Amino acid sequence: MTDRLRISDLKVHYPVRKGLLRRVVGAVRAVDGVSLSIPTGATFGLVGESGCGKSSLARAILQLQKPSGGRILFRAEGQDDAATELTALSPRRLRALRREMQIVFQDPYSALNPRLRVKTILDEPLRAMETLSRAERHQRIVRSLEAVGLTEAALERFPHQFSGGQRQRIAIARALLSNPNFIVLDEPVSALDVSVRAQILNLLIQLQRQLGLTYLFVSHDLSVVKYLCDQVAIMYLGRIVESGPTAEIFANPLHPYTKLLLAAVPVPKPRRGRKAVKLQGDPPSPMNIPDGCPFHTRCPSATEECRKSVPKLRELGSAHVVACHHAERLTAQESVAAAGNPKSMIPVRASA
Amino acid sequence: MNAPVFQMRNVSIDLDSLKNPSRRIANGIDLELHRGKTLALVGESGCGKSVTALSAMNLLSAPLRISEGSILLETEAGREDIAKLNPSGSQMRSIRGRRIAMIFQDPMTALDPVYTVGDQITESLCQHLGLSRKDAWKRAVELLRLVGIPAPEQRARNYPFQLSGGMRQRVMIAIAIACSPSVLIADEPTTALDVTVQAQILELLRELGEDLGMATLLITHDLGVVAENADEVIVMYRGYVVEKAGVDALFDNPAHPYTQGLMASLPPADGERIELTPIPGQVPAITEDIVGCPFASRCPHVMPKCGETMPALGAISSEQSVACWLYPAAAEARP
Repeated sequence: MTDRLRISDLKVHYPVRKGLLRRVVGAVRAVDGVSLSIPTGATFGLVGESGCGKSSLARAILQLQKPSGGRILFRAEGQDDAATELTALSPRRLRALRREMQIVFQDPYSALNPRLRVKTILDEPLRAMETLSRAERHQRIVRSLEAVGLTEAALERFPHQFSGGQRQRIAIARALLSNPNFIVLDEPVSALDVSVRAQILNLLIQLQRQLGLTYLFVSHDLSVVKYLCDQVAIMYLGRIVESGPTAEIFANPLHPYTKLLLAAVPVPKPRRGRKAVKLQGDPPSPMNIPDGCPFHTRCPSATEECRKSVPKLRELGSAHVVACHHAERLTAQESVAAAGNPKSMIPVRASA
Repeated sequence: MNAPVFQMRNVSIDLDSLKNPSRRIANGIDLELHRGKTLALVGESGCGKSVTALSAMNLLSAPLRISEGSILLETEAGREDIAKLNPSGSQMRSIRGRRIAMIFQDPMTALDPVYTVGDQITESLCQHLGLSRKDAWKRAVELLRLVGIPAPEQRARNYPFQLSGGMRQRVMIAIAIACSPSVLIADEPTTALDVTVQAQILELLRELGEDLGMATLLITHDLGVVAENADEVIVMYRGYVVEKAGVDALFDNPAHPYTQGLMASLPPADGERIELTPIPGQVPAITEDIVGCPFASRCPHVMPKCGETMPALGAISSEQSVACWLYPAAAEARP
């Protein structure tokens, strides 16, 4: 399979300025050396808690935020493999490429201009990106609306006349206008109610099948990621700590953070006996990332080595990579413990 | 079972308007809270769960008002109907925070940014328990320790912006439990938090509820949170309670078509990519007039009767009742 997108060692650092002269005193390392590749036609999930850098990464890929370092290779229309280096493109060439990559934002209430009618909201990007006659534009708009399950009747209305789910459909219709082949979905269902969320998830899957789209799905909702994504990467403090095929990650998580994150998700099945909360405290500030492994301050199994050296991503199992010094040892210990005593778990460390 | 510490009986809430007739946004809500137990109130945006929570604190203000029903709370003077009290009167103020307390969704907007968290905790201690400033401060530090904040002596002198989201929510909980209320209303207490922090906060609420014998009303839209934390569940739709059940009964055997629809909308736990079954359409707007059952327009089992009258809650088993004509033995028209 060819890759739609390949990024290597991507960095997004935001300068922190202080004082009268606004001198740079430090940096928020929102994304700190991330590499990943997304196969054409796949859905790639990017998971993490607030402040882990997942939105910064998504924006940097689309060049909405200039990366501080690294390479982003994109497979444009007609190319055989990811070959166009986005960070080096001239503004003009980048603009031409933009029609191939689009984004749907989290909050459909703020992503649509409340003062414009839907027809203007959908017409503007078309006029900016393509040279089409009025009739052709209209045709394209109606086709796009129909693809997301709305009708022409929506055109004359304003965003406030739609419900949250319908607004998200309009935002998706806007993203589809330029016939993109890659769409970043930045928490597209987080603001929606459960019953409507299912409608939008079904729509996204159906559009992907029909149009052969490649998705980067950014989310903190693990149950949705598990359902929708082929591959998943877990981010913590600007780095990917684990990544691989979704089924493999959920069935056999190797990084302590992934394990604790999965255990924290509330499951819609009534509890049979309480589960203990294993992960204590909050993530450290990305302005002040700890030395060594970024997770060592909260990790129940951290050792001296973790405090000193940064673990590299290593491949354990097919396409399953993890950044933990002790992944094998911990997993082996757990399976022994699980076999001997079903109740035992990782020892709880008091919160710092 | 013991007598409930808190009871809402047939409570309806109206939204008054100068131009139009009043609209009823909650219809005949009945609920009971018991010591050490958690009742979850579930529903999607606009179903009336937050106004129900506010009415439980008698915190509604114009144009919203409690139009009928009674809200009974155990106090020193015996059972008192707080729906009859003036919401801003001294009697209500002596109850609110002392007997019944609330945790709000967004800890950043619910805490006052210009006072230290210690000051905000001592306020109700001085007001309700008549403690001196010094004693109240000591107690505030103890409370911060109780809710799991490290270095509470220093943290009490912090302002809300100096704390993380999870810590702020812990501070809100400390304020709520400061006077050991018998009833705690938690309105989406973890919606603004990350999943690992959410697990910590929910565990804290569970422990406190059991240790202090508080009755908790947990308002949420997350069925996962319900399953792991509630003893009993009430499902609301467009201002009506449509189903009421023990947590196991609700998840094993959801009875109302709306509850069934919610369960079918969830991605399967095993991650299998079967097509989800969403509920078609959307919740009717609050401005729409509805005759009969409000779910009729989206219901797969709709019958002619549904468009005429809304059934009352009827018991289908000892621990489950449902308001739906599909259960003719249990259903009867609302009075």
